[in-house]
Amino acid sequence: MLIAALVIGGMATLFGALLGYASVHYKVEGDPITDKIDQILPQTQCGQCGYPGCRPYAEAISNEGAAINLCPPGGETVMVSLADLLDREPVALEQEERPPSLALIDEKTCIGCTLCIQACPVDAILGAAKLMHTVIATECTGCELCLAPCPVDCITMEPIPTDITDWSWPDPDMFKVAA
Amino acid sequence: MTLTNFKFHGGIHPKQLKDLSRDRAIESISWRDEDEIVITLSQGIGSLNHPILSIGDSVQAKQRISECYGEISVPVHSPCDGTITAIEERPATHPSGLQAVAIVIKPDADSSKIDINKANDLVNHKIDVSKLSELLSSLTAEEIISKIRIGGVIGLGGAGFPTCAKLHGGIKTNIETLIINGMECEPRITCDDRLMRERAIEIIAGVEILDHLLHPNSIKIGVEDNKPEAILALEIATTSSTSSIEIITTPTLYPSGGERQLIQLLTGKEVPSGTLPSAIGVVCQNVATVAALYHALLERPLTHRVVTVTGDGVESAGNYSVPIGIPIDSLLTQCGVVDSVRITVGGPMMGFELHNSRSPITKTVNCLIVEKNSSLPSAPERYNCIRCASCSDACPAKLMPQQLYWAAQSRDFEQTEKLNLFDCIECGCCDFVCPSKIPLVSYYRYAKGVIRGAKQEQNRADEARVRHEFHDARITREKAEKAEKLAKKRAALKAKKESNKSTDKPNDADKKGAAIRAAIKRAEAKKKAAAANS
Repeated sequence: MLIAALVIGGMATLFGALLGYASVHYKVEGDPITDKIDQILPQTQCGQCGYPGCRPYAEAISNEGAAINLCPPGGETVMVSLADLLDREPVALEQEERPPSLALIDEKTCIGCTLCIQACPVDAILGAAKLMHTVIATECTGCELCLAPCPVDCITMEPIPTDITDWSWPDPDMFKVAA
Repeated sequence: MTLTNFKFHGGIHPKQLKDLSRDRAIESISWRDEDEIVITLSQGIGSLNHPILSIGDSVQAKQRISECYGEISVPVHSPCDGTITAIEERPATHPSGLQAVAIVIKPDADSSKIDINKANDLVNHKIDVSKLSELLSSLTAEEIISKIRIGGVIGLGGAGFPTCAKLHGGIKTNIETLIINGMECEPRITCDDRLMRERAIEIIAGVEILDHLLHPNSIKIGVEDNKPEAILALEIATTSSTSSIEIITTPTLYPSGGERQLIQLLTGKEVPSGTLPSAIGVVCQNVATVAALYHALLERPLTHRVVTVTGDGVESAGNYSVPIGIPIDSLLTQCGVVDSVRITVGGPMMGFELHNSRSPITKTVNCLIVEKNSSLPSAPERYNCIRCASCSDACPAKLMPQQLYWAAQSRDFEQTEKLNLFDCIECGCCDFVCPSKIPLVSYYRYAKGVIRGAKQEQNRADEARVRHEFHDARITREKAEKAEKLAKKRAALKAKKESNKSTDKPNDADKKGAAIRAAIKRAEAKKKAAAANS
């Protein structure tokens, strides 16, 4: 009896110590689920989900149980990936999916007020006070946050055209249905 | 000539159909007076070129007309004397049928229409070997590669990979075997066959350049056994060569001209998945590319290439040396195409249907198949997959095509990647053997496109995340800096005020007192002086 109690007690102490050690030594920095969600989100930082950026939305999903269908630029792909990751039921999108687009500044109208530069979440607009501004096309995420602050409405969103370098073969099943 | 001892997995025996053009010697076809030359800026693989001339500038034949950045990119050249009339989007010779930026040149009326230098070499039928070796020994490896690059040489077998990039990889590693690809395994195409028969000396000269550059232990030229004349011509040309070149004959089997398949055929070694041939000490070049790099070294950039024109829709099928940039409809009209036809660019296995016949010949166009619309078979009826696994038997990359098909069809792209989708060379063997006539390759191409697109999207998102994080960090830092500055200013102001209270006032009083005292002294001195004077 005594031996049994000692053995069990000893094992409990040993495993307790091991677990304690592991929890300190193998502590995971940051929030892995939030990181994973953030990885899936399209990083447009547009705020169309109602949160002030992709990271805050990721945090809201993981901590506050926010809905997974709030991201219009990500569309169905992102929603399905999130549903997969979090083991939730896929739900229809809250807003319509938006095709990717780029901001274009009409350089003749631009008065150089720098308001759009301050609004851009990824520093994709180049310019200085009273000088013409321009969008760095490769950096623009198409978030539309620069549209509202512009006092002369010289920014428009242009759809991204497909060119030869990013063209890819179409879905063969499309033809099957047509035929 | 030796026979190969090795073989690769799978492969098929489609009808060769080379008789229409294989006995037609290479002839020159050039632009007509009304034609313009359209040179697409991005040819083959690599980053986009930038034009270095403007509209209205006159150009000379062989003049470089574009600039390129990055190692994997080569410039383009004008094939004629003429004037640049436009730099704009033109229909591209591409499966998408989209447009691409091109330089449009109107040839001068008196511009020479044939590739004179190459023609001269052929007339003399001799290459000045001592001059070539002298030239080679006066140049460093980097200089030779740079000449090949500036000469605009890319792989002429079809994929269009810049030759300079392959050679850069080659000189960095120890190359055991240099393989020259003279297989031309696709049905109908005969341009490399004719090139080997008629211009073997140029090919061998190019091989000698590569020998000098890469110092391989052995050099092997692979030719399929359906081209005995080409093998003979190469044998004759190698007898006078300083390099020891082995010509290896392989059985006719499609796709033995695929780079990885050919390497396995000639060396018995398999190129591991996801690596380049240089990883196992092999560099592989097409015969036409080798001939082109010889010319590039002698300051004759790639402005012409040999194209096979074949099919029942053309009157005079044959092999034609044509300027790169000539519109395809001009070439076909001169070959006698009148009917409504379907044009395939490339071979029947891997080629694509041309959407716009005004598209130009590019460096990678090796064959045009012209078929009368009336003679085209109707699309075969498609049945369901019966899991017969014929495709697995035929696959030269040892993949499982039917599994890939199921995964791609059900949009399970992760699974296609696990099944090594990217090892697929899109040779079309699985399509060819499929009894249910399923267009398997189009599913793989689609899946590859989706996966590449998703990866690009992910890269963009990652970049945006980094920029956004930097943006946030910058805003916080600027705020902190502003606050710090403000705090400092406030502190300074406060200190000033306090010092004013405690020390400045007595100081002021002292100063004032001293001034008053000094003034009193001066007044006293004046009074004394006045008293003394009076």
